[in-house]
Amino acid sequence: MRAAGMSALVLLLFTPFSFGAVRGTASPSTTNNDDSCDIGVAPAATLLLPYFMVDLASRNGEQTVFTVTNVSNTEQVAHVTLWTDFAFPAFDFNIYLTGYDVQSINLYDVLTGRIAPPHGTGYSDSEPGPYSVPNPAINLSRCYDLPAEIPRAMLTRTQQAFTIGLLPAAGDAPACTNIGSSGHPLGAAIGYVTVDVVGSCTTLQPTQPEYYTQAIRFDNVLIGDYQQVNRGQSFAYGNPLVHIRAVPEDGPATNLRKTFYGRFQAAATPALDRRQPLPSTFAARWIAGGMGSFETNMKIWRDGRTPANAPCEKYKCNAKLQVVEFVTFDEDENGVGEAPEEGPVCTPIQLEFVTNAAFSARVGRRGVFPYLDNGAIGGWIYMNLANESVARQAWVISSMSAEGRYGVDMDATWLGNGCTEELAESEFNDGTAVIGPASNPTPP
Amino acid sequence: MKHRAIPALLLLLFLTTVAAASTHPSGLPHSTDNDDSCDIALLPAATLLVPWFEVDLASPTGETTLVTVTNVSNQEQVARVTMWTDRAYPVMTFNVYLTGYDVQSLNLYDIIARGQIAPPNGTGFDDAGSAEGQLSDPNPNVDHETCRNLPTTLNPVYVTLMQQAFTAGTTPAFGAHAACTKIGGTHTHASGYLTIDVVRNCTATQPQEAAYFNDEILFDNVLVGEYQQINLGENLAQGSPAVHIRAIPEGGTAAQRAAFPQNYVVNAPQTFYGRFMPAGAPKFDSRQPLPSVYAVHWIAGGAGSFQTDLEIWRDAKTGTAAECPAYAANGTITATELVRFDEEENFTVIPDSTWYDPPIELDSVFAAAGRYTLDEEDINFPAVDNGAVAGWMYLNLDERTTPGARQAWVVASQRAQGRFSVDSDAVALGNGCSPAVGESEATVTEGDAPSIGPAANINP
Repeated sequence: MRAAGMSALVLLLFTPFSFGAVRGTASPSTTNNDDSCDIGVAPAATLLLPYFMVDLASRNGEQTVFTVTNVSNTEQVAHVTLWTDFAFPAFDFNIYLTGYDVQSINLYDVLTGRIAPPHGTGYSDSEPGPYSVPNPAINLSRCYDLPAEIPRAMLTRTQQAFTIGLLPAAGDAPACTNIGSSGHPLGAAIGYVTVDVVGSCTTLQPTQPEYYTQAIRFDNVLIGDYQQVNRGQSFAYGNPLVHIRAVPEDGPATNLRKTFYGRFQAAATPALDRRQPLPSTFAARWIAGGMGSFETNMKIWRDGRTPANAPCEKYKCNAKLQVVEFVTFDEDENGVGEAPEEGPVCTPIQLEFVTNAAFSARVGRRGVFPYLDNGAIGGWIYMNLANESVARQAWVISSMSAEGRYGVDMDATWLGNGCTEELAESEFNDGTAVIGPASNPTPP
Repeated sequence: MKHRAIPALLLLLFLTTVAAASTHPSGLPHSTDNDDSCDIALLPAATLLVPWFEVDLASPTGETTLVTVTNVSNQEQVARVTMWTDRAYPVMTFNVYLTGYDVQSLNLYDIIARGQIAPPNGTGFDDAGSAEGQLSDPNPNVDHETCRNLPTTLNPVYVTLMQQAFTAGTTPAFGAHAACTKIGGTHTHASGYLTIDVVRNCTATQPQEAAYFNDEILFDNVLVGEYQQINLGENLAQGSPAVHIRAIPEGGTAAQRAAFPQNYVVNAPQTFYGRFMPAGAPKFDSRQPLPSVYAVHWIAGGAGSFQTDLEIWRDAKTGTAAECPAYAANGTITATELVRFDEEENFTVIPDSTWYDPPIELDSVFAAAGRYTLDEEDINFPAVDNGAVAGWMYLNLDERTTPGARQAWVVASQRAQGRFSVDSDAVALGNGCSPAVGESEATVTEGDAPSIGPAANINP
């Protein structure tokens, strides 16, 4: 907080009756479980794997494994969607989970044609435990024999979507181009994954409005984690998935002004998914170079721009998501920032200071992040990933490695929650905003 | 969720709509504000907790823990670091002066083995000044002159004291202090946990002293931090964010909050430092309480030689000004229930003592901080009896001896093939304000015991 802000705060503290609704009574306003905008590692209705990378040429290469657990006693269906790095939903499947069930998914298996071999993810292969109970709210009629093997034609389409951003024509569906990036290292498949609790083994996707009226459910019962493993290089990274809760789970409509799946909602029901929104402003540690040959990559997920049922030619817009600013600090508090000179738009596409919906970028080289030319090898980066005058959602993972043998992933700290108002450019980029934690009360 | 909970939930929702002090009088969530819930999140905080550290004092290439603390505000801050034994005895305290946007890394090997705090420059505000960025501002609440020339090199007496405390659980007689025994467990590596609090000055006062909260603690959510556990010899590294514990409500000094308590009413039923709070102000620290019930993924054995260790932190029993002998009790804190599921939803629990004749006590017992390998040797955890190599574990770490649920934190530390390792926080099944949960139907086979699952949405 700025000194000026603190003075105002202190003044307010000495004015007992001038506080608004929140501070005039007591804090926190809510002590309830599942009753805030804060993203916690708590059972959720949607899980997000912000970034995956799979080397399709080698089982010993880069792989991403994630696990989904149902921590309730009631059976559930989890709908898994694999999105390209331009936020195109290229492949989806369902997982039937009995009460307290666990399912591990190796994306190498999926993207080479097999979903959770040898048993698959269906009802026929899942024996309920003694305390698992039926869930009367879900329809299991299509969950019995879920396919474990992906047909060859579909597999080719899927691989091309995640490696070169191309979806070949199939049946009545025309070919799609520019639905993802190309030129990936080792020709790897890159994208992100969402896992939603749903009411049936649906073929609907989150980009379809019917997904929210017919399929989605609101029970905060799923937990998950991921590991990014490279056997050839002896690297492993891991982290919890992003746990996005439905608030409320049931009962009255949500108070959330925006939601995780908000861009797919109908205008009349803009928060039907009830999912907590993700933040847009982050602080992430970096370390690069030095005696340990340190390296930091930021794995970044960003909310796309395409709405429900967008035609495929629009997905290239999700490759051009504007950044408000990045500021790189070293350990001596020197800071250097970068921000676009002009406002952003998709049409016409402006190629300045934009990113994909999911990407990984290295710190400490000239490129995506502002470069400190003073020889610093560590510090932190402020990222304001809002754009287009809205606090567009994002997630950041700081992925650090050293000496070619150590690696850790950890979530960046967010500076406000997903309901916090967007922040403009800071003093580092000739703006007026002060970099720091968001203020406590969010304006109504 | 259990279906039977829903009607009660709905009823409560409607009954509390008017009564709740809310930014949104209808619908949920009750608050969309920043820093306004009991949920532990990765947001700038007033206290950071590193739930477990481990340092091989014999080798600079052995196990060590690195900690980084960052001030993400433009104002200068002081972070008070306290290193506790695994029985929650505060052994060592030092301060880190942070200008606006400052970062400080600490290698605990430097501190415990070499007696060096952040060499070569230390953590203070020296006569030549401290590197300061162009947008760093003074903090009127901070007495930074007390941070001038903080020691970088520790007196060897302190180093010996630390090493004995963290490896043998003893401290020699020192000045007016008598020798202490059983203040920690016996370890090959120096082990314990640490806390980092935002404070207003650089003194040696510790959290178990009344003056810490009467005068020195601050309430600004401005610190972020993480740790890495590294073993150079074994080529292993794990890391995770520190636990970010926010002060809610934020702001003010201890003196201001004592003078105007009506402006700082804490709704949380308990707080992180509650055991050190005076009876007249039992939630004065305002720190969010940690949860007590967790779910964690485990994998052990198999073709990949998988191994899962759980790093478990638990709120200790000792209060302000506890004498040395009291700390032994922090080495034996029982848990309500642990249930181990495999991937086929089969489960096992700790056998009830009555299963044996004569009965034997088999409760899960943990220290205030510890690292435990999930193998057949450790009877604190339910055994696997069917050859399963993976699943998840339910941990109810309340002790059922205090009015609120006993706080805890769990990190799953997984390794494979002697070359891969990751740390990840376990999932909390309720927040720190959720009520205590009793034994589930997995353990209590008669009557109407609760099901294992996420906490209900609305607390009574």
